[in-house]
Amino acid sequence: MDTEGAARNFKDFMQMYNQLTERCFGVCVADLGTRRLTEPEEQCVSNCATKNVRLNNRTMEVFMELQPAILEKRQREAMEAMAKAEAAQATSQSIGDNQATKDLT
Amino acid sequence: MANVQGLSQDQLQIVAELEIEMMSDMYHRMTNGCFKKCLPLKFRDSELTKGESVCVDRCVAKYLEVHDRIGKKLTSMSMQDEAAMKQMQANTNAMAK
Repeated sequence: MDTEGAARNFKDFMQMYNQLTERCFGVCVADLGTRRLTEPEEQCVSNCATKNVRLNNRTMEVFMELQPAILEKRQREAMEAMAKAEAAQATSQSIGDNQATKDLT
Repeated sequence: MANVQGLSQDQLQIVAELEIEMMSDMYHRMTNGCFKKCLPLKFRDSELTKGESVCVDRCVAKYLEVHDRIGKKLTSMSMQDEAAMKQMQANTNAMAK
């Protein structure tokens, strides 16, 4: 396993984890009159974490589904643009050639 | 030189560094969160009031508890995922036979 990729994965995961804590703490913990999490807060944190993970998974699924089509479209457009540019160049060149022939005669 | 988990000295170093970095990230987020939740945005006095101190105290404790709980949750979910993946793989293998 290459170290760099693994390190990046680990970092991504940790970042996601920290973000999740921040978000769920912000949303779920309203009462700082107690030191321990209350029952509803606990439930909220649990739901918040699970839902976020499911959201991540779902987003990834949809992204994987759409990404190839978008990539393909972009590639096709690039090819079209290139073909157009080439055609334009060819025309201007042929005009130039005609000019040259005319000048010769 | 590899230790029990099959990580070399260099890799261990990287993991340790990342862990410290992530701990500081967590700390930073916690400070922000507790600042928001405990300090009213009127800075009449430079001294932390008793109430604010108590609030920060509880806030840190709760933040760490939330962090811990979510960590456990993530671990258990990823373990479940892995088990499901293995099951699926076993099923496809059985079908192929």
